[in-house]
Amino acid sequence: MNDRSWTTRPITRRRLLIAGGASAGLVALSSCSLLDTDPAGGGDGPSEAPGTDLRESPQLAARVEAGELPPLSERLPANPSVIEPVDRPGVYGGTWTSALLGPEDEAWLQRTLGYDPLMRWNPEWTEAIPNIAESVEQSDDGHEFLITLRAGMKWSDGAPFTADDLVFAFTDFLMNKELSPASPSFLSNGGQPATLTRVDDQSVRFTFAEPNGLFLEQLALINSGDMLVTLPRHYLQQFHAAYTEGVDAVAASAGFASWTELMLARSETYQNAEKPTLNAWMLTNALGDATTVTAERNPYYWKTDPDGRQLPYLDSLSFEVVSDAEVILLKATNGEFAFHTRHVTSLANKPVLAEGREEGGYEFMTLSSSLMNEMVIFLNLTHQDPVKREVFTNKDFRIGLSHAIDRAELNTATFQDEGEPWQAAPSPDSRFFDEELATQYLEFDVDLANEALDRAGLTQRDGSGFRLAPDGSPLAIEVEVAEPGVVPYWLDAMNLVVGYWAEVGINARTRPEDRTLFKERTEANQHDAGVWVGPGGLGDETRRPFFYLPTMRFEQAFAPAWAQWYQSNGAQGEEPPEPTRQQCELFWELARTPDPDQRDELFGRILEIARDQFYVIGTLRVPTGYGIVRNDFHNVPEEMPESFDYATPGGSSPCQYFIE
Amino acid sequence: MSRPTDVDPATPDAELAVASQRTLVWRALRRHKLAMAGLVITCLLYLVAVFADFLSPYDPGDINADYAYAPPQQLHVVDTSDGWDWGLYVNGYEQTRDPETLAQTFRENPDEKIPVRLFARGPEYKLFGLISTDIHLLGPDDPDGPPMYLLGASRTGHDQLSRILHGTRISMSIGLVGLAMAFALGVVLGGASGYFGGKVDAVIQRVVEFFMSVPAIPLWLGLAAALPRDWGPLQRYLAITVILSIINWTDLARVVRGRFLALRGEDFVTAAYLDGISRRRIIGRHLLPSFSSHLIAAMTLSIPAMILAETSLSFLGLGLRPPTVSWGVLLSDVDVRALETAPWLLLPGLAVVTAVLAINFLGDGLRDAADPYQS
Amino acid sequence: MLTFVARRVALMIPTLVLISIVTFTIIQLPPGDFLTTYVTNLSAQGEQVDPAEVAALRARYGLDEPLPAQYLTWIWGIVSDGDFGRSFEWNRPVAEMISDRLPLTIVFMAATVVFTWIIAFPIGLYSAIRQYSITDYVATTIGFLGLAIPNFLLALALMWMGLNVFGQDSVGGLFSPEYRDAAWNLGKVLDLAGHLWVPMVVLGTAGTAGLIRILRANLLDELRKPYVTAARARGMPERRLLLRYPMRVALNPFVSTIGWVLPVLIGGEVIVSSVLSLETTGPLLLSSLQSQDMYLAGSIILLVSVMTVIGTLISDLLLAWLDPRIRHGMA
Repeated sequence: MNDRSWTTRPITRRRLLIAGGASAGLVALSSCSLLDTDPAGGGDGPSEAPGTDLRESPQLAARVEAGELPPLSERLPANPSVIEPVDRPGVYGGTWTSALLGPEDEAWLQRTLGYDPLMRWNPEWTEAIPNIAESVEQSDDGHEFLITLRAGMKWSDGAPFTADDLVFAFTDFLMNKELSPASPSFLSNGGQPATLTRVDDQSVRFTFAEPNGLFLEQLALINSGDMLVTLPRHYLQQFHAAYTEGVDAVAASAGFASWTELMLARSETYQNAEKPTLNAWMLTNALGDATTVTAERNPYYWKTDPDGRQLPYLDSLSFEVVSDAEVILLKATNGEFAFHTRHVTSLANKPVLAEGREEGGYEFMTLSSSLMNEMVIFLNLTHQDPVKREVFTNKDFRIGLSHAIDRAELNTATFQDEGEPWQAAPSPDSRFFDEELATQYLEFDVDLANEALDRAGLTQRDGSGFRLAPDGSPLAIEVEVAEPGVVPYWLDAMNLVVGYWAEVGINARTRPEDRTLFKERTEANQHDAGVWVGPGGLGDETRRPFFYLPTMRFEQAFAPAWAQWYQSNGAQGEEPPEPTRQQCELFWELARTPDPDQRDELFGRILEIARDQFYVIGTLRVPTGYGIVRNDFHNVPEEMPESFDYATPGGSSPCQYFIE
Repeated sequence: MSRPTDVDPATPDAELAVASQRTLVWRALRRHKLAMAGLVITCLLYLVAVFADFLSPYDPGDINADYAYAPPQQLHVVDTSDGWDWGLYVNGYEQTRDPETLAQTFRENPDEKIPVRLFARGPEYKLFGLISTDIHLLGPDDPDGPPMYLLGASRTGHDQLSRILHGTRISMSIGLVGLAMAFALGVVLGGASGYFGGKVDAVIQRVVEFFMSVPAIPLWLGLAAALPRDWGPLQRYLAITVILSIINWTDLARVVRGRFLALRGEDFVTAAYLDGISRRRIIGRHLLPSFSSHLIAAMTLSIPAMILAETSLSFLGLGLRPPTVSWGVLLSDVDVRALETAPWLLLPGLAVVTAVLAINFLGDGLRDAADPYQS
Repeated sequence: MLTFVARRVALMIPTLVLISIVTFTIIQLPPGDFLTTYVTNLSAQGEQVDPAEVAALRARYGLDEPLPAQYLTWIWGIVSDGDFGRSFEWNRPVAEMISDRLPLTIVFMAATVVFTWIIAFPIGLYSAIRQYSITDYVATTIGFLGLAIPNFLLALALMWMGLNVFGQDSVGGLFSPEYRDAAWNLGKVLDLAGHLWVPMVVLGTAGTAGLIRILRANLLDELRKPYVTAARARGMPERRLLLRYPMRVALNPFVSTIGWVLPVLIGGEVIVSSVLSLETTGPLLLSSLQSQDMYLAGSIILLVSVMTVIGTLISDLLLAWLDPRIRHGMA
C-alpha cells in the first residue's frame, strides 16, 4: 500500500475500502501466520544510517535505486523553499508520536502536519512570507495580487502542481455553488467575490473589488490559505461532474446521494488518505480509518535545509486517537509522546508532568500566549431587559465590579500564581500595548468599588443587603460559564468572583452550561453576562479584536446586537452609540487599507475608544504556557507563540524537527 | 402444601402477625453482625447529614486560596514538645511553590501551634434551618486565624472535611427520594402485571421492556441536557432523582412481576380467591408480604445504585454541579494530578464505599430477617 | 409454546418502532444540533467559521428539515437497504464504524459477563449455605466492594497503578502500540488478554454484587421451603438436595438478568471505556452524543436496544422453560 499511484479510472467502493485500511486486517491476515506472536504490519523502526551528509532519506534513496522513484533532483522544484533549522541540521528517520483527543481534534493534525498554506508566518510571527508561493506581488492600489508558484513542484504522487490546480480549486470548488454554497469570506471583499486569472503555468492573479489590506495575512492562515492548495485537480476531477461524465452513478454506487457528496468526502484532507498532498507527510491511516492516525514522508516535499538536503527529517507521524484527556496525561508522563503541546499541558497538570520528566525522558518548552486574558467577564450591553441594559451600560457599574475582584487571590486559587492582573488589553510585548488600557480599574479596593456602584445609582439595598436596580427592582446577574471551558478553571474562578461581588452588594451567581448552549444563548442575545478567553493579546490583535469592539455575535458577546449591526454592514441588529459606531467604521477602513503602518494607526484609534468605553472586565493574563518535548527530539524552539493563527507548532516548521 | 402457622401471612388477623413479625425481624437482625454494623453506620450517616453544619468546621463554600492542595493535618491531643501539655492543636503549614514545576509543597511547622477546641465558633448557620448559631463541634480556637484542614484541602482551598460532611446530605438523600418514586412505580406496575397477567401484563411489560432497552447513559444525557436552565440547585437535584428513578423502577417491577407469577399458582392464593377475597386484597395482604424479603433485597440494592448513579452522572458533568456539594461532585475533581499529588481528594470515594457497603449489608440482614418462613 | 414465541416476536415490533422514535428524540433534546456543537468546538480551539458556511452545511446535512422528516429518512434508509446514514463527525458510513468496533465490544462484554458469573456463583452459593459465618462475611464484603467503588474511580486508579506500580508499557486502549493496527495473530490475542483484564475487572466487579445478592436470597428462600426439609428428613445427601431443585429455582435471576444485563453493561461500558480509552463502541457513543452526531448515536442506541429486546425475549423463554409454573400461567 506504500506504492501510491493514481489513475483517473473511477474508483470503486471496494478499492476504496482496501486503500482506506478498513479491510487492511483481512488483507494482511492472509500474508502472515495466525500463530505468529510478532506484531505483523507494525511500523518500520527508525531508519538506520544516520549522518548529515545524506541529501535524502535512505528509505527514499533505496526506492530510487530500485527504480520506484525518480531521483531527488527531479522530485524537487527548481527553487525549493529553504528552511533554516532551529539548532542544527538533522538526521533522517524517526517517528513523531503524539495523540488526538477524540475525532473532533482535527486541529492538532492541521497544526502539526497541515500547516503549508500559500503564504506562511515567519517564525517570529510578525509577517506573512511566501511558502508554496515563490513570490507575491501586490499592486499599488491594493486591488491585485500576482502569485507565482515554484516551477517543477509536485504533489505527493509525483503529478505536477501548477497554476491549473489553483484555478481548479478556485473556480471548480470554492466558487462552485454546488460544492461551496457560501464561498470563503477571505476570497471576497466589499460584498464582491474576487476573480482569479491564470497568467501562465506558474502564476495566477487575484483581483478584488476594493483594496484588500488583509489578503496576504489570510493566505498564511489555516482554513484560508491552505484551501487553495489542498485540492489536487488531477485527483479530484474524476469526481467532478464538469470533468467526468456519469459521476453521479459512481457516487451512487459508492453510497453517496450525489456527486457533490462524493466530491466533498474525497476532498477531505484528514479523512481521505488517498488524496495527494503538498504537506511534508502524507497520511497512511486517515482519521477514522483506525485508532491511530499515521503519516509518512512525502517523497516530493519541496523544502530543503540550507545544505540542500530534502526535508522532512522525520520519517513518519503516529498520533493515537484517545477519548479521555487523563489517558493523554498518563501517556505524556510515560514518555509516549515525542512532542506535544495540547490537551493536558495546563497549569494544574504541570507538577504532574514535571514529576514525570526524568522517567518519561522529556523536558518543557515554552509557549508564549497570544491570549490577553484567561477570563474576560462581560456583561451584555445590549440586554433585552431595559433595566438591566441601563445598569450594565453604565461604565461606573462595570468599574465597581472590576475593583471588587481580588485578582491576587484569584491568581493563587485558580491560576497557580502564574497570572498577572490584566484588563482586556494587548500584552506588554505587543506593538499596541497601552498601559492605561491594561491596568485601569485593576486595583482590588472594596471602598472604590462601593463608591463606583453608588455612583452608578445602585444605592438602595434589599433585606439581605443586595443592591437594587435604580428603579428599585431586584438586580440578579447570572454569569453563564461554558463547560467544558477553553480554560479549565473558569467555573472555579467565576464562583470566586461571585463571592467578591456579594461583598459589595451585587447579587450574582454562576450558571455552568454546555458550550453549545452557551453559544446559542449568547448569539440569541439571551444572556446577562458570561466569560470567555480574551484573544488578541499578542500577534493576532487586529485579527481577533473581539473584546475591543463588538464584532463577535457569540461567545465573546458583550454586545451581540451591535455586533450583528457590524457584521451585516448596518443592515440588521442595532446601531451602536456614537463612539462604538466610530470603532466599527475605523475597522471597516482598516480592512481596505493596504499599508500596514496605516492599518496599525487605525487600530490604535480603535483601542483608544475601547479604553474610554471599558466594555468588559478583564481578570488575569497568563503570559506563558508550555509543551513537552522528548529529550531525543530536536529543533523545537525553546519558545514559540501559541495561537491557532500561528498553527502552533506549525509556524516553527515541523519539517525540520528530527530525532537523534 | 403445609406452612408453619406462627406467622402465616394468609391469616386474616394481620395485626398480630405483623407485630410478632417485627419482633422476630429484630431478633433475627441482631444475629447478623454485618447487618448490625451496616445499620449503625447507616444511622450515623443520616445523623451526619442532619448535623452536617454543626459537625463541619467550615462552610463548604469557604475557600482559602493560599491553602489549595494542602495535605491533611494531624490533630494532636497532647503537646510533648515542652513537657505534657493537654489540649487539642494542629501544626501550621509551611508552604513553598516551585516556580518551574508549579508544584506546591506543604510541610507541617512544628513550631507553629494552632490551638483547636471543641464547640468552637465559626461561620454562622441555621441548625435544622431554624436555630441560628455559629458553634461548630471542632474548630480552630481563633476563627480568623490560620485554618485547620484535618482531611486536607481541595484544589481551590476548600476544607475537604466540611465538604464531605455536607456532601452526605445530598448523596444520602438522593437514594431515598429516588427510591420512594421507583418503589411506588415498580411495585404497583410490577404487581399489576404479575397478578392480572394477560393484556395488562402485556402492556406493562412493553413499557418496562421499553424503559429497560433504552440504555441509561443516553437517556441521562438527553434528559439532563433538557432540564430547564433557569432551575435552581434544588429543582435540579429533584429532577436528577426523578431521572434516576426512571431508570431504576423497571428493575423492581421486573422482580415483583416474576415473583407474582411464581406465587400466583400457590395454594394459599387459590384458597383466598375461592374464599371470595377481592383481588386488591389478595395482592396487598397475601402476595406482597409473602415476598417482602425479595422486595427488600431489591430495594436496598437500589439505594446504593442511586448513590453510585449520582457519582457517575456528576463525573460525566451531567449531574449536580458546583457550588452544590455532593460526593459525586467532589469525586469529579479526581484526576491524575489528584492521584499523584493529593490522594486525600479520593476520600469522598471512601465515603461512597462506606455508605454503599453499609446499606447493602443492612438490606442483606433485613432480607434474611424479614423472611416469614424462617424457622 | 410456539404461539407464545410468535406472539412475543410480533409484539417486539411496535416496541422497536417506539424505541427508535424516542431514541431519535432524546438525541435532539439538548439545544442545538451537530453543527452548533461543531462550530463551538472549532471556536474554542481558536478557529472561526463563516456563518454562511454553517448555513450551507446545515442544508447539506438536511439539518434544516423538520425532525419527523429527518427521522423518516433515517429509518427508511435502515429498513430499505441497511444504510444507517453517515456520521457527520467522522464523515464515514455509520454501519462501517459500528462494525469496526462491535467485535471488540462483544468480546469485552462476553468476557465481563462470564467473569461476573464465575465470581458471583461460588460466592453466592457459599454464603447462602454458610450463612452468618465469618467466611460468609468476608466473601460478601469482597463481592460488594466491587459494587461500592465507583467505576470511573476504579478505572482511573487501576490505569494509574498499571503505569506507576506494575510498570505497564503503554497507557489506555486494548492493545500495545505495536499491535494496535496489526493483523490478528496469537501475539495480538495475548496482547488483548493482557489489556482486557483491567476493564473486565472494573465492569465485572460492579455487576457481581447484584448477582451474589439475588442468588443468595433466592437460595435461602428455597432452602427453607418444606420440600427441602422433607427431602432432608428422608436422608437425601446435602449436595444432591441443593442441586436438585433449589438451585434451579435460584438460577432464575441469572436467566432473567440476560435481558437487562446488556443495557446495564453498555451504560457502564461507556464510562469505563471512555476513561480507559478503549477501542469499543462506548467512547464512540459518548462522543457522538456530546457532539450530537445524531445518526451515529441513534444507530448505536438502536442497535443496543434491539439486542436488549431480543435478550429479554430469550430470558423470558428460558424462564418459561425453567419454571413450568410460569409457562402454564402464560399459556
